[in-house]
Amino acid sequence: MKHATGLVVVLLVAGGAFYLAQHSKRHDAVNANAVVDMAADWQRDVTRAPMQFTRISDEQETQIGDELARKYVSAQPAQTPETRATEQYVKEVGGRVAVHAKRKLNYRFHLIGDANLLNAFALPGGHVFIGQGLLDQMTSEDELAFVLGHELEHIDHYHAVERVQIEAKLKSLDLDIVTAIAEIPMSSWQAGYSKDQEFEADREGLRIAAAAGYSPQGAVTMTERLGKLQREYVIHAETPTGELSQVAIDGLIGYFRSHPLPSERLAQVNAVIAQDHLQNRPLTHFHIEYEVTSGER
Amino acid sequence: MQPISVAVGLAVFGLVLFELGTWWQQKQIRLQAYTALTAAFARIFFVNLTAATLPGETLSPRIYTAVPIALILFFVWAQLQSDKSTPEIGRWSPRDLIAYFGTVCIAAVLYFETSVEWIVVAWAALALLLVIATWALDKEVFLQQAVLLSVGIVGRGIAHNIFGGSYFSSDGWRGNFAVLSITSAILLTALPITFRLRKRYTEHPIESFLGCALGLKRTEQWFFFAPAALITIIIAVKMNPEMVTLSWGIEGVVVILLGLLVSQRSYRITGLFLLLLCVGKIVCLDAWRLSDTNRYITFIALGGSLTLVSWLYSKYRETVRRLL
Repeated sequence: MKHATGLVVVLLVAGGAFYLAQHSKRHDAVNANAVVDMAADWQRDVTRAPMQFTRISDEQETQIGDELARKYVSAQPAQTPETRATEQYVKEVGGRVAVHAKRKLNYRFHLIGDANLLNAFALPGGHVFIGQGLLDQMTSEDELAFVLGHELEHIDHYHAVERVQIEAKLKSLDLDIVTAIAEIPMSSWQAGYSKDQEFEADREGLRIAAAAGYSPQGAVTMTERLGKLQREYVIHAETPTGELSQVAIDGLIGYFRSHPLPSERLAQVNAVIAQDHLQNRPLTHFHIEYEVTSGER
Repeated sequence: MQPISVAVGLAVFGLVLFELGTWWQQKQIRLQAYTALTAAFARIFFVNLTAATLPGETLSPRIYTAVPIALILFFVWAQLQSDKSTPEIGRWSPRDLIAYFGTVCIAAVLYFETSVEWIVVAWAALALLLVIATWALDKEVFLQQAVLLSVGIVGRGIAHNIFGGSYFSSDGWRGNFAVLSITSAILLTALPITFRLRKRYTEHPIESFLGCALGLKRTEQWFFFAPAALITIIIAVKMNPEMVTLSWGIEGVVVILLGLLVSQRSYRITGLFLLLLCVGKIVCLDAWRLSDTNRYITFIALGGSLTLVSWLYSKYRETVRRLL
């Protein structure tokens, strides 16, 4: 009797869970992100203590960052007047946000004129890069300030320099030889950081953008848009075989791209706004002005 | 089917197969049930644990899908406890493995559902529950899990909460003091039960290899040294450098008092070691580096602590001699 009652209770609970799951309007992708996230977080935690004891100086970090940025910028095609003006605009917004960073480095902002690059990344020492593709997705200056603040905080909180330390250790590179460090591929910086570091960059990026006078709603609308993009672009496997291939592919990519889910990022953004009582300001629209001259006098 | 319902479906299917296999006494059906249950357990790592709560949802899909799976696993485990027949495959029995799956399900949900700083607190609460379950059900498997979890708590506490915290956020550092203090308090709450368990295991010694390897006869050592290590290290790393010696001194006295209270030689020696560490630190570092005020405070407090300990040792000389 006891067994039968227990069985009925367990089946009822499981049946209820099954009903709820089946009737939820969710679009969850099957991937190895849970395992990858845990592995990436543990790896980051385990390496954090040695990082603190072997930290390189700000001067050395800036030298390495400058060399990496120089190499990357020189590989880009020549800028059009439009990209130049847009880059100037990015620099102005970034400059306003960077004033509130905790580490007083020489922060510099660059635009990569590739409309397919839906990404932004930071190099150690103060260089922040943003792709034209990501900029095209934005509708307000506040969104740009949040994204730049997020990347800036990867530098401010030593995430970028810790990656240099890890890469140098893995590839047996000498941290004192800047040209050797510049051999670290740019994909290492574009890949993103651990879930924990991404959350920290979101949190602190939002705070410095707000301190610079930008509306915290920029972070909300930007995170919502990223969530929408993810829903549109993530492939949903229809069969168990499809799921298996997706798990394998996502697992490989996911190890390097362990960004938190947009819904979790949005939840954190809303929590920070409420907790810090961030003032809600109206969103500022983009305003880029530039002149094209023919060169004739 | 929705991707998040597959694991629940597999678990229910496994449970039904298990019941049928038991009813008809068909070993192969039960083996299929174990396969389905293992698949359900594995599946949560590929979709359910990353299914975060969306705006408008009141209950997290992680909770409402993974917890029922754990419930099914524990139900099957409980049925296997009453089954006195021979193991399913040669000498191997799935009993304990199923209990491990259930607990890992819960620990994984806590890992993904709790904010990163508070995971250790959630795990400490789970470890306490496991110790209580061991006491109430007299099942060693839960004590194994509790000990393994306490190792995980120390590992994560040191790596994440102590060394992995933010470099700048001051509330994060103070926050970590609070988080690790609560974690330690929860782990110490398990101590009275572990002393009772020690008595139980003295009368009925543990025979399993894993139980012996994990030192389950003396779990009070795990549940004392885990919080003691966390507190000692967080003081060393995060405390204002001028207050480290004083804090270790206070910790040392508290540990010695606890050692005398519960008649534990290892605790007393740990307390004495901490006091010795303080004396060594004062002579080698503090006497030369501390500001005048902090030097006076540290010297007076540590002198007082040492006098108190000497008095306690004289007063309880007989008790101490018996424990040596």
